[in-house]
Amino acid sequence: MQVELNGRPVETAAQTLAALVAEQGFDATVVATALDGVFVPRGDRVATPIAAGARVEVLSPMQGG
Amino acid sequence: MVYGTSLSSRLLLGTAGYPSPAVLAEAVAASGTDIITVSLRREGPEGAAFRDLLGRAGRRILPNTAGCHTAREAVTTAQMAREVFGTDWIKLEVIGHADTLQPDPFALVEAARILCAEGFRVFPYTTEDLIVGEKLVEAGCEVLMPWGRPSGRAGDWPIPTGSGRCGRIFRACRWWSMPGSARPARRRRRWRWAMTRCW
Repeated sequence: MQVELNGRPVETAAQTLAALVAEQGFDATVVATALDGVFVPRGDRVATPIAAGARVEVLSPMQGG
Repeated sequence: MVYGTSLSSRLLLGTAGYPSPAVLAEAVAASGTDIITVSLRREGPEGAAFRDLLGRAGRRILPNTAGCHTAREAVTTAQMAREVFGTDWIKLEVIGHADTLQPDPFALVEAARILCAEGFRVFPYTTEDLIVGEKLVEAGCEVLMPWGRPSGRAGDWPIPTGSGRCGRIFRACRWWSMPGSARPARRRRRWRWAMTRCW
């Protein structure tokens, strides 16, 4: 199925947010996630299913301010 | 004191625009600042390394919600920042105008109310508008960060009588003037100007 990951279309076989994070090569301990505009805490990713068309944001610390 | 934390320096040091992590680390050490501001971005390979650098810096971290244009976006970004950086401090930015980067005061107050209710310590980037300042204080903000000037092509540093008025009226609040973006030399002049008016 296809989801939108950080604004880009991505094909994935992942069924949960945790699986998507791992599949796409993110360091799960560093990033924060949101699904369809709602924050998903790290501990909830395993139990958070994703569906086709889901909008997923994966953010990490960066220079700024 | 800011949100119950005693600070020895008024300087907030941004972390953008440094030529290398080593230069950034040197700048943090040389500045004597207690607070460095950081962002969240869509994943880049340097994320873990930057987090490690922040840990070594040993300073208080102030994440921001830069790039957010709605209250909902800003709230979600703040929640994500709290998890990543392990702090409930958040510099709340909700941009209303793409060219000047003027904050959207309505969305700003809405987001501040939500975040304060969730236990965040909110540092709102706001305009010099007194009523907006009152609403932010009512929401639970103990700090105001009025803009010093428009950014982008909107002109040079104005005489910020409004910002000065904020400082006189909101005496119970800490407030920082935000110098905005500009070329380096002009930015340094603005910082010197702003620093004379902090606290």
